[in-house]
Amino acid sequence: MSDIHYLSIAEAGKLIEKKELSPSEYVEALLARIDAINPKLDAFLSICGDQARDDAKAVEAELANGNYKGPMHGIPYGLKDIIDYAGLKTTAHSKLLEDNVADTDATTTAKLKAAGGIFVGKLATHEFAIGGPSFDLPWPPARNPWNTNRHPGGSSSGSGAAVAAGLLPGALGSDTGGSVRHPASMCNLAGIKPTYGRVSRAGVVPLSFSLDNVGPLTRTVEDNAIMLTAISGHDPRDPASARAEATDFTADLDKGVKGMKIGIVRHFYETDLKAQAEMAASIDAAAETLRELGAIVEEVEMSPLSEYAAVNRVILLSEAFAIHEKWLQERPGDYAHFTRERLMPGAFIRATHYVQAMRHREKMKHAFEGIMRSYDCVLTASSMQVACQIDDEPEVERTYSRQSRTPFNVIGNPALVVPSGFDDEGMPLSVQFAGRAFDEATVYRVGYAYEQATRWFEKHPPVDA
Amino acid sequence: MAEPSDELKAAAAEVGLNKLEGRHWDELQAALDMKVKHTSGMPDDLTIWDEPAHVYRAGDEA
Repeated sequence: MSDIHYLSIAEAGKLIEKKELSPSEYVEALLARIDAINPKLDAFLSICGDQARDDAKAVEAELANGNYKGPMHGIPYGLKDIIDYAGLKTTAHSKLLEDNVADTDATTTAKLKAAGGIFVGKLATHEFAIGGPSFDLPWPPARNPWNTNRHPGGSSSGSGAAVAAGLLPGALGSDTGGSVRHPASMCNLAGIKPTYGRVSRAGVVPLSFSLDNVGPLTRTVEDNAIMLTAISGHDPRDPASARAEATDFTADLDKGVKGMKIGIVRHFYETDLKAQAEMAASIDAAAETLRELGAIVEEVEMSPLSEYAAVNRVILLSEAFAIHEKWLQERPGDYAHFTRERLMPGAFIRATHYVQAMRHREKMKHAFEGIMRSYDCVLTASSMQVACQIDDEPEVERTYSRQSRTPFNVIGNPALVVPSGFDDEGMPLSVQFAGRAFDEATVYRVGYAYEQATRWFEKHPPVDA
Repeated sequence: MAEPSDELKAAAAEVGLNKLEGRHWDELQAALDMKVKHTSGMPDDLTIWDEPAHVYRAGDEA
């Protein structure tokens, strides 16, 4: 057995099912690790140790009675602190919601409970999933376990830091312009933005109604598929929830990529933006790996990144300002500096701009559907470079938009980040796979084939030193 | 920013941001620059027939 704290969900789930690992033993090991490591990372905003211990005992009783619920049964998890857990605070890492206690569970929380998951705590986020990393809030920002002076990515920063450091095997984040995939990219994790509508947003503090998604961060692609299977499905509480069939996203993972057609979007990281040389090389190496596994990889062209970014920001900032207008007018000093600066442009975007952005969005969606008539999946960059220093504000700002995740928020399609190696300073590199709407299964299949051929996920951060 | 310009104060007042102070004015200037960057960065190829991505649906089709 590998270190208990670095067991994958799939590994731990099998051991729990066979009664070779007790949920209580597992939870105690993780709580001890959180106690030792979290002070270096500030990944957690709150830790519910006693509740987790009680839940672990309850799971053991269920298992003793032969009531096995599946691969999430007995698995500890955490929630980005914009996701409601009944009876606990949902702060969105903000002074404005410092005393906000949730009445009911978010649908995703309820689904993880129903699957037998054991909730451990709430995780740091950039304020309202848009600011940060901020040092002018009631709680410090999460740090990157690969180098605690570096940014862990955001806005699901605590989720990324906690999972990478072995404090949890999986956590939920949210992704409006890339906020699951950014920490996944910075922390050597798998992270997915599912198809818009696949996962309920009910009980999640909104940032942008038409762009928000909830998705899991895990150390392996298989674990990610297990968590997405647990949280997806139609929800009448969410007006954007799709009536998509419930799917076991692990079912086709190991079917390989032989004969698949994969488009590589090089212009995103070669000309639209210029990626760090090691990042670009790792994406090209991923293309070669997929060819060796039997896929056909050809270059494809999408719209320029700058156009997707503009459309994403006009929609996101318009919708976000509609949510934050009253608070920004009445309590501007209660926001962090980064958050105020990022939200205020929305006050000046005209209705015409918003409608034009939504018209471009529709065109971009159809254009990608055209590409996907000829391809099973596309491969491209996620981030253009590795994590920057967390307290270097100009560099945080400069690198904020140097990414190619927003296209898939604009068009709504699923996009998965998978580790692709390390730079010469030991910081994680990553690639991104995107697919047809509601075809997460194929995206996972390609990601899994690449991950199993390269096995970058086996390396863990030097956080124990 | 020592003292915001009258133009900047007017922009803030127009959208009800009447409680800004200190460094908030620099942030507002940066926000206005960012708004121009985003709105001018969109493509310019729409025809009158291009429909928006609708988020409203009549009835119980969600």
